[in-house]
Amino acid sequence: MSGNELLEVKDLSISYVTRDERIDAVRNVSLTLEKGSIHGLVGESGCGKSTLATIFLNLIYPPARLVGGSLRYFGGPSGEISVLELKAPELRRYRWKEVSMIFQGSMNSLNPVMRVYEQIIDAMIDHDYTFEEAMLRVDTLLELAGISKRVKNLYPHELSGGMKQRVNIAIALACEPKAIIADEPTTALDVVVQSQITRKLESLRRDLGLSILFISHDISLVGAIADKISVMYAGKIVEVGKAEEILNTPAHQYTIALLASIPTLKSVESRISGIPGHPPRLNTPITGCAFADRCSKAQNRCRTENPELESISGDHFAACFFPGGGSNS
Amino acid sequence: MLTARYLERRVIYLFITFFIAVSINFFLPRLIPGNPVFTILLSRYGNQIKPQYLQLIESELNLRGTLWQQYVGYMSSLFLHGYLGVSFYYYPATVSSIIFSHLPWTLFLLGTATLLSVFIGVSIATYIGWRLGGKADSLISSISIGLGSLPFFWLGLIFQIVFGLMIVIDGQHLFPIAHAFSASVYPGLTFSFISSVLYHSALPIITLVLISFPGFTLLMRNTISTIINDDYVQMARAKGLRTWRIKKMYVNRNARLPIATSVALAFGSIVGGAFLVEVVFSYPGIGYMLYNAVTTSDFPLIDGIFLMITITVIIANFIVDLLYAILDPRVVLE
Repeated sequence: MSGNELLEVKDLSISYVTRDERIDAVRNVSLTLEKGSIHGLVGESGCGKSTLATIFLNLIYPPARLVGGSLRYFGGPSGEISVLELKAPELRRYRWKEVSMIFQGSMNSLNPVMRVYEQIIDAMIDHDYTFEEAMLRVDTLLELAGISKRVKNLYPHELSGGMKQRVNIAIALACEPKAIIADEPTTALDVVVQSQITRKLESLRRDLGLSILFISHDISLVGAIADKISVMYAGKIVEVGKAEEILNTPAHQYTIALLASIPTLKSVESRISGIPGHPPRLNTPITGCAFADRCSKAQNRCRTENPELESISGDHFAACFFPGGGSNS
Repeated sequence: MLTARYLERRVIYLFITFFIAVSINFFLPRLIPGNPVFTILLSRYGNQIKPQYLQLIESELNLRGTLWQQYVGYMSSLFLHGYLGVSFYYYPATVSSIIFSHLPWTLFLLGTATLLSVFIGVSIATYIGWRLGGKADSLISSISIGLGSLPFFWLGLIFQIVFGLMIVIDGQHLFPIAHAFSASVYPGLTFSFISSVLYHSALPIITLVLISFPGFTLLMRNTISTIINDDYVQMARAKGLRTWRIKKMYVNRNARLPIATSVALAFGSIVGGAFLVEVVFSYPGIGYMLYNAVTTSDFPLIDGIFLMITITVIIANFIVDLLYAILDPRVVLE
């Protein structure tokens, strides 16, 4: 690799273990987030992308359980950090200072009984900013997030959905992190606000040199801002490559089907083609390709052998025995 | 937030509640069989009751005419002059003078017990709320359910027997089992009086607290168990906040909101409990006076005490409403 990595996940597996069931939500995933880049992580609901997101701040709490794998962080002052081996006090200092997060349930991720500015400064104060420094930074942060500084004295219930999300962005930027994990940051927002927030994240990457892991179920939204895209299906990454490669010459049959299901302005007359069937339940081990049952090109081999990520061209990898054939270009 | 409209509506509501309560209070005791005048005269003059005494006393005590006429008379003197009438049994003492001399004792018991219950309940819940499913949690939760379902008078009697009679140290009983202060001290702001009052109130207050706090513990424990999984607590963890800050600002600040509501609801039951405990411990509060009033058919005193209960509960609810509006910025009282 190029030495440009900021965060590197290797062979990560996370399972949800309850008394009578075990769900393998993330299965043997490797992923690299490069410095100053936006990496899109795409997949449908329940594919494990939010579970994967929690690893970056090591927010794995029961019933979720880390089965195996590692996460290395290269942005720290003292070189490489193995995040999953940090002890509680070091982990607390790593969180938000190095990597912060915008949560999926961002409508509910603000504390209803604290004012906006209190929720911005508490993160800073617990990361060695003085109260005065933190208070001075509030206006700057709100401005960076593109929201009037007057909201700092309001309570969350007095804000609209888009404003709350901008407050979340301001909080995420509070401790000057190197990376932000944005887990479905635009879900539950209308399309206009959605594109504003997306563009805001893009400009923050440009102005602050942030790395962003942008998680979404919407491949067209991710395609618009990401440098690289990983496609996740049934707990595995099935394809990864430069955004334009994924969008123009998708290799994995799932990615092809996913791209085919996007309605375009030209396709008003035609029916939107969905992907037939459902993703497999992850409570039993899967033999072969998890997508085989829904795939139009599946052969016997797909049901018995486990496809590994293999290079299609250069940095473009796909875990598919019969890649390609659905070029969008 | 509080608006003028809220206050206005609250006062109207208070007045209506008050009116209905007073009316019910008036009729209810008068449905008890027996003639209070006979009871009084029998207790004072034995069998030598003369008919002219009867008539004299009946007119003095507003017992002439039909029940309806008595009601109108009672209501008009109450609303026009704030006059609660004269006690039958403690004649010629007025009801208001009796209530005001005994109310402080009840407020003392009630206030101390309620505050202690909330404080202890919330503290214990905060402790076990962070150790859900652990040994302390299951132990304290089951003890709380058991303790909270005991009757007030029963626990009071047990405490009297155990701590007031059975345990004797140096020929002395551990705790007094009756009255608000020792007969050997004079009321006043002296150390001996205050310590005697605290000493005498120990068993009644412990009885009340032990039965009242478990409700708050269980409620807050359950609230914490849901809040701990809420998105904003997850976010607080992700923010790398110090643990005390997550507990204090994110979990407890939100978990105490339902407690405010439940204090208002539980207050009525604590009032009832305090009355029973007063009777058990012959504590000279208005609960004990109510018990005496009922056994002697002292209608005006019964009416007056019920009135005090109504006012106390209404005011307590009002205070809780205000408190809630302070605790939760989303609540607007209008």
